[in-house]
Amino acid sequence: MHILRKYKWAILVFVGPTLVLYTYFVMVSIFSTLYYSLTTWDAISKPIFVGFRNYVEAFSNPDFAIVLRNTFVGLALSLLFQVSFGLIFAYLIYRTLRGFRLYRALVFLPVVLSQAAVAMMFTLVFNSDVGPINEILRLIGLEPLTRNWLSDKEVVFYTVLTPMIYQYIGLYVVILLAGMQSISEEIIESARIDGAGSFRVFFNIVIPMQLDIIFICIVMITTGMFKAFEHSYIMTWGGPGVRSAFLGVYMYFKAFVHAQYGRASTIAMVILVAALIITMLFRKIVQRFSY
Amino acid sequence: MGNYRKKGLLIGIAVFLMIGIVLPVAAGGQKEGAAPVTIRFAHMWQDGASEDATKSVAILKQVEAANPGMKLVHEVVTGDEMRNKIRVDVAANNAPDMWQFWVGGVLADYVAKGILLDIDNFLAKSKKVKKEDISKSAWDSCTFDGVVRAFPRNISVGIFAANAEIFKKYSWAYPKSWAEFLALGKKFDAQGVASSNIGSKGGNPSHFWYGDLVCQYEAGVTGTATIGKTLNFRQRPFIKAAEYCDEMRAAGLFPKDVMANGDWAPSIAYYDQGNVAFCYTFAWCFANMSEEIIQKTEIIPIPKLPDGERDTSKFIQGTTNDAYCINAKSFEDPKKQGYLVALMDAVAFDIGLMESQIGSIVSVNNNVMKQVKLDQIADKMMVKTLKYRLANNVSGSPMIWQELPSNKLQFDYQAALDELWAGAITPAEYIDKVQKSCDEYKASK
Repeated sequence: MHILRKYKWAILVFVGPTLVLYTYFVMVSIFSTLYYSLTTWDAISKPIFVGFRNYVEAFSNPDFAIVLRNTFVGLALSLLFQVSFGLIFAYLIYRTLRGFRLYRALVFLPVVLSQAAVAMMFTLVFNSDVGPINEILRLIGLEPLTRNWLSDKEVVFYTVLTPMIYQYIGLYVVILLAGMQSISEEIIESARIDGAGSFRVFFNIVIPMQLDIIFICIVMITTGMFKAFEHSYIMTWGGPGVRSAFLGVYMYFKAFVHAQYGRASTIAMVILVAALIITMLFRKIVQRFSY
Repeated sequence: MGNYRKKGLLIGIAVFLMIGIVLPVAAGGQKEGAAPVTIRFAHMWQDGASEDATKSVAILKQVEAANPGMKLVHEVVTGDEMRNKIRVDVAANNAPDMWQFWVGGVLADYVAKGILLDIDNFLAKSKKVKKEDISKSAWDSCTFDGVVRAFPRNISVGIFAANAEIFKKYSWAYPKSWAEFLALGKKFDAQGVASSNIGSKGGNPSHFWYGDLVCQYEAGVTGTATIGKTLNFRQRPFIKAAEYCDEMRAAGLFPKDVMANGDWAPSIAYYDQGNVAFCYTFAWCFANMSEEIIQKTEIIPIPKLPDGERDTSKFIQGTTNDAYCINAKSFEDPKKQGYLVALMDAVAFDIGLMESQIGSIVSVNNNVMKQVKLDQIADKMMVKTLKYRLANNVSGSPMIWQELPSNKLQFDYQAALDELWAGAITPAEYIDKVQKSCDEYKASK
């Protein structure tokens, strides 16, 4: 505290501009959104205060329930696949003797592609008339598994989720790999000397020591899923209906297509609160188990 | 001393930072009397994207060159995104001076807000366009409470066509009745031929096809024309059309993947591959059809529904489709008015004539169309289409989408069609969904 008091002007000078920008662009935006979520507003006429009506209507709307379910299921599957595959690939690359940089670059390649390009590509891949997926399934004698991947209401959600999960596995590989490289080699050598095999080292040393990094990945996956937009919008427009829509897409339609900015703000607030709760929940879990 | 130096350094950095932020802001903006008048025009012509777009931009540049006091700012947004852009701009009190838009219900909010110019004010000053050049029905599509609020641009020109080569190969006849149409589904499947390109993504092109079935009933035509007022979707033609669409789906007459092959570009690309029997599309897709497929394409009437009442060879979906809007406030600015008149004259006449000659649109301006020679239209599919329309006296029937009075209603209608096409909901559920949206709109008014 003494140091803070001593250098308070210096702190203000250097932190001040950022604080001003953060307050204006983030905090003011959040409180404005909160206000608009309590109004009916089409962005052309003046907002009309309606209290919590937007929230009641959102949570009693069956479409919103579908979108909420899609987002949470998508989050669960993303956490499952992106974290687990991220850890496995990161560990394999970490333990590799040759080609470390090459593997890391290859794994990271999909991340640098534009989401729109990946979505377009997967739209063609999953096209049941001309795409390769159904053709390959037929060739290997699995014709019963062919589907209308982008139209069948049973599978369209998973079809849209696939490129979303695939594209960013590489990002978490690189993050986790960086974390693994900070593990002292002596710890692993000691474990090996004590007879620990690769599996024991991975589960009993690497993962516990990476919990803080894993938490960062969880936060990134959570915020990413709540902002998910491009793949769903480009591949299927969130459809049929809202069967492959996520909260981000639904919010976009409410704001820019339905011209219901009040309801869109409501969804934005739901996204904010849900993301905060999930982040805090995982923080508590990780804190319990980390070293 | 050391502390004072540090404090002085800190204060100096802070002052430098402040100057660095304030100076560019103060230096920005136009000095009065020095710079040209900026006119912002939001349009869909991406230079280089197509012949039509490139030539349109070239004409706009000529307008700018002919008016050295004007600086024309192009705000290019293609497709349905223009709807979003204009709404956001208006919300930010930053509407463009002029923009390309659609007719009908999409204009209602802007009319209510008083943003759109009374087009008679422009016509009074125009050197190239007169009111009598354009038909009353075209003006009516842009008229609200007796005042014309947008300048109509073109009529939507659609076709239902067959790949003649496929039909000749398998010795199939073009279907005239609905039963013949449905029976073709199995034949197509047996030969590995794709049935049609009538997919549905965001309601395209499905909402046009659905409207064509609705308008096979006399009550469907009047029901469509008045849907904006009645908001009653539980009318027999709408219900029957939904049931017939579901029959088509069950018979395999839609693409297998209606979403992947829905929307305009994917649906025409699908047909262009050459293994699709039927094509249903509109003039804005003609440029994407290869010469090879155009030669194989034969326009035919839509098969008649079992209880259909109207001759399907005489009509197809399509009335006035697009329009240009002028910002009323911009027009009232004496500095901008002259330039807006010059710009609108060029857009409404010169670009309209060029586009009609290329074949990318059919202008609503009769004076323009008189100067267009049919056989000299560059787009061969448009030539075929116009010849067919003239030979059969084809007229346009009203469009449900256009008559719906709000963006949300339009979206809900289109989204429900996606679900109907995909078989995710039944025809009864489709009608319920759209009716529910109509009821919510009614309750909100």
